[in-house]
Amino acid sequence: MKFFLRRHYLKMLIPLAAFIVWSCQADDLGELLDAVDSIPADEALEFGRKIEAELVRVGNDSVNQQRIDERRLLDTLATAKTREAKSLLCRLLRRIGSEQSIPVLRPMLVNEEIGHMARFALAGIPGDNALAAMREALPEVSENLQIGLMNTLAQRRDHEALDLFVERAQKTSLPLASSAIRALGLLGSLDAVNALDQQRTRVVDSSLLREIDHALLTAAERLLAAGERQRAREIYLRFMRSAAAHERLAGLSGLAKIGDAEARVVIDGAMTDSDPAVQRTALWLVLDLSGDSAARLAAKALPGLSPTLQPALIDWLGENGEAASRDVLNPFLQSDELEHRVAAIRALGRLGDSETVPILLERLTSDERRIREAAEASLRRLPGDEVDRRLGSMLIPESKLAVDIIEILADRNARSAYPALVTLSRDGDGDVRKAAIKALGNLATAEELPALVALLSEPGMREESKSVQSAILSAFRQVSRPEDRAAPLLSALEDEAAAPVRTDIINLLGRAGSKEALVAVRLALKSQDSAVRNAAVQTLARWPSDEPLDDLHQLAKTAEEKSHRVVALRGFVAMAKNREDAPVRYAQALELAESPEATKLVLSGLGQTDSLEAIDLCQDLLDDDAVAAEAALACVQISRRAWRKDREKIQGLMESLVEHEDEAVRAGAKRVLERIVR
Amino acid sequence: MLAAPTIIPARAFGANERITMAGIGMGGRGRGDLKNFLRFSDVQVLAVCDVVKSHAEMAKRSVDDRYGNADCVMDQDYRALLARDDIDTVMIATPDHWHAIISIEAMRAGKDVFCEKPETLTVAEGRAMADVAERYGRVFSGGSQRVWGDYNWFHRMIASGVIGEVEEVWVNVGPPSGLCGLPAEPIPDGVDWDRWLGPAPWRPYHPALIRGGFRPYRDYSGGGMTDWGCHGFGGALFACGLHETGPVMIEPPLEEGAKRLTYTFANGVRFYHGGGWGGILSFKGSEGELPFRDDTRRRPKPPNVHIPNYKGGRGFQGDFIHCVRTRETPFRSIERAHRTATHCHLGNIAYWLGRALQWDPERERIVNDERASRWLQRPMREPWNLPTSTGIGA
Repeated sequence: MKFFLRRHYLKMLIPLAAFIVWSCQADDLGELLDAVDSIPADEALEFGRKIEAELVRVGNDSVNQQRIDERRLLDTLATAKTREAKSLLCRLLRRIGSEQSIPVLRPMLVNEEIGHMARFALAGIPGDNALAAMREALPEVSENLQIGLMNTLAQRRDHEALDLFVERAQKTSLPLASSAIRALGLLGSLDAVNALDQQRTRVVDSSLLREIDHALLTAAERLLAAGERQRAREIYLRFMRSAAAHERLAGLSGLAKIGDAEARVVIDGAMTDSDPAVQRTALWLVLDLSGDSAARLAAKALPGLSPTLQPALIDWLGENGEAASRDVLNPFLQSDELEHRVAAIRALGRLGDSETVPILLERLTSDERRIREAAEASLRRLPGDEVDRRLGSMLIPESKLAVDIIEILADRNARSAYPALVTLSRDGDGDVRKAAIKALGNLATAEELPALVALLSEPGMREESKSVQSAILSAFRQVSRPEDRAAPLLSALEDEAAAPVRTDIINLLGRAGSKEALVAVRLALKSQDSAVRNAAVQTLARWPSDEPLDDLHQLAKTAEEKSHRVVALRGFVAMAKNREDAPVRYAQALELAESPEATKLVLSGLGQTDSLEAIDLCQDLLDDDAVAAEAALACVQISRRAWRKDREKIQGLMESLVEHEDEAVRAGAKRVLERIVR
Repeated sequence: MLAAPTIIPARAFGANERITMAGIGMGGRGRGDLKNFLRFSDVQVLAVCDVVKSHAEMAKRSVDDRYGNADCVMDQDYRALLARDDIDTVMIATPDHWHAIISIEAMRAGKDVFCEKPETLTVAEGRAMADVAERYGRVFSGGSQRVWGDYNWFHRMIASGVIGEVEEVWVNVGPPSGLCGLPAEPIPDGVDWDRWLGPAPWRPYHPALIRGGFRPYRDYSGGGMTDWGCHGFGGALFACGLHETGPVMIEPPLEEGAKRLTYTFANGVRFYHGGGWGGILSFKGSEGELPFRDDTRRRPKPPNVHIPNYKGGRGFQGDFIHCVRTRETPFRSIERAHRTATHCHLGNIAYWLGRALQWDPERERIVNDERASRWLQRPMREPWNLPTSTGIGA
């Protein structure tokens, strides 16, 4: 809806407004346009919206009212002087124009500047009179405008225009003759096709010969739709005799539309064409035309097909085939050709079952990267729970493939493998252990979460604590309620004495984010163990909601350890950002800032807000040398969002900063001033 | 017997031969697409084209840098590139109002086409492009990398029945386009302004239009509805298995009626323009919602369900390259692209007219509303035209 956006365009509209006001009664449309020269630039968009709304109203009025509105537009158009005004009126007439518009638009068709807009309006008016007006104008207009008129007449399939097109198809002007030939193709009648054939015998220019061929192809579809199957077939067969592959493709496509037995013979034959593209297209067409029997036909045809076609057909079978056609893939699994082997492995992913698992697993150790990737993808894709069980049964710890199988099972969401993975999470091999723990995280549900959490405190699992924490976070994805995520952690916290484990649990509680979790973290602030206290402060500072804001304020104010005060202040600043009382909170934060670095931290938060109070806070620091630059930048950042709230105040402030020594401040202040002035 | 036809042959490439490409429309998006194709070792970019000379020059530099030579040909007229026999494919990233003409001309010249979204400006253009692709047996891939790439989590979750039968979908994309009111400015050197306008109604030059700022204006684009709509609605249609049909009713927001533009399908599913709770797409099914309202940041891993998507294992552009070789249909075929764009265009028309539309997705016609049908097609400024007639809106 962004139109009439600029003052300059409003100037262009003034003459139009005058014309329309002159002709309109004092209705809404007229009043709007009457006011056009007094619209301030910043209201132009709204003005445009009103105009658009008026046009919608006109379009949905009664037919009688539309006729009245159309008449007003036509009267205005008849006397309009500028190209822009005429163009706009033609656009409006395209919306609501009727037969009464034709006499006004008809003379405009010959106008070199505005003829195309007259046609724009006229082309939408239904009925023979609009067509007759365009036909009548055709001999009177320039060559370029003739091309436009022929296009529109042909698009509307005006068979009355046949002779006009034939006449122009014989002209020496290439653009005119080409357009006339196209128009004949669009008509697509027997007469038009005969004219094209005749013209073909006369023409020597190669570009016109090409245009005739294209026109005949277009016409062939019209002929086919009209039941002239034999005539269409003749055209398509001609293309099949071409030396150019893409022309044979066009012939093939046409014959496929005919689709009868005679056409099928030609399409079948094209599968042995010299060109691979024609061969392949013929293959797909044959399958398309075979309906429900396509999969059986493909499986049957595959062994005897040209080697260049086989990989594509194997892929097709992989998407569309039936399990019964799986055996046909066996020879290709052993083929010397890499493409054939890869395609066969890919297809097994869809057509195979649990019996296919060993075949694919064997290929996971191939030296050939593409074979490995295809086998892995197929193992992920193979359908059925039995496949999961078969894969699970092959999870032997000593196996070289154990890690691969674990990852595949996790990707398959193979819940049946969960018990085996629990066992492997304690495996002696570190890689297997890590993979199994990760998989457990992918597969665990709310019921399994306690057992996963228990791994944290299991003797001998400290080495894997990071993996276990990641797995618990992954498992959170399957557990939607924060309370359900936190419950097993809280339970473990009660039973756990070791500080490192308590630390891990507190970190995780921060990601779970329930009310009970917050209570537990608050309690941990009073722990005797400094690592636990540290974790609690860090967790509060990263809490997913702003619930612990007051806790952080208190910590930043009274914590004994400086590092706790710093972390708490950082968390406090981050949480205050999106609150309604952000300025008050930032004022509190500034009071607590113990160093210039801390003040800068608060200023960086302030810079992301948009209140005048926030500007006041920053302004107070403009004279503090240690943070003056950051305060100035924050003033600019806030002003960018808040300047409408007090233009005068912000303008004054920005003018004071426009010569600031910091380049970013200067540039920012200048941009805000430009906005205010504009 | 009639003589064989004489259309100039395009090159036939072998299985291991490089696929040659020309880039048309080399603004920011076009150069981005070009860079993606330059990463494929089996693609050779031979030429670039833009009506803005500086855009073409930047594109040529990136091609020449990639190949370590100065061979990339640069032109301001796309027809010179289409006339070359040694170019197999074209990548089109012009403004929307040029997509149909260049795509169709390219396919007539025996080229396969990768065309940025929104693939069409009108419903009739989309039907014409789909017809021509079929007529000439060409491979056409539209340019939405998000329908599968970004939204496949939804597709997998919905296909596995996590939320039951989909009942309502919210697609949160931008507004329709409108009239253009930019002022006139002098045409700078190196800009072929008349060619930039092409089939669109004449208007004076403005620099914003050649710098990607054309989207809000109806002569060149359908606005946010078609720009991100071709991603978002495309994803929604695919997720619901409605990507080869269309709605039967489109109702704009009216004071007494629907709050949002609402599409209703024959099976009762409703799509809304705007709203939702999870970014661009929100689904409500008979047994749940996606994304989950309680925690949109944590998306569970989708069940192991296979949905046919890109072919060839090399992502979105790789799907096109694979299909050029195999002659299969790419994921974003012109038929799918056209159906998605049509969905967006119909929403725009309902907005522009301020009234409900009935749509026949089979015949691709607006039912019983001649005035609304006028918006399905637009006459092109001479000498440009679509060399194919769909009968839509004619």
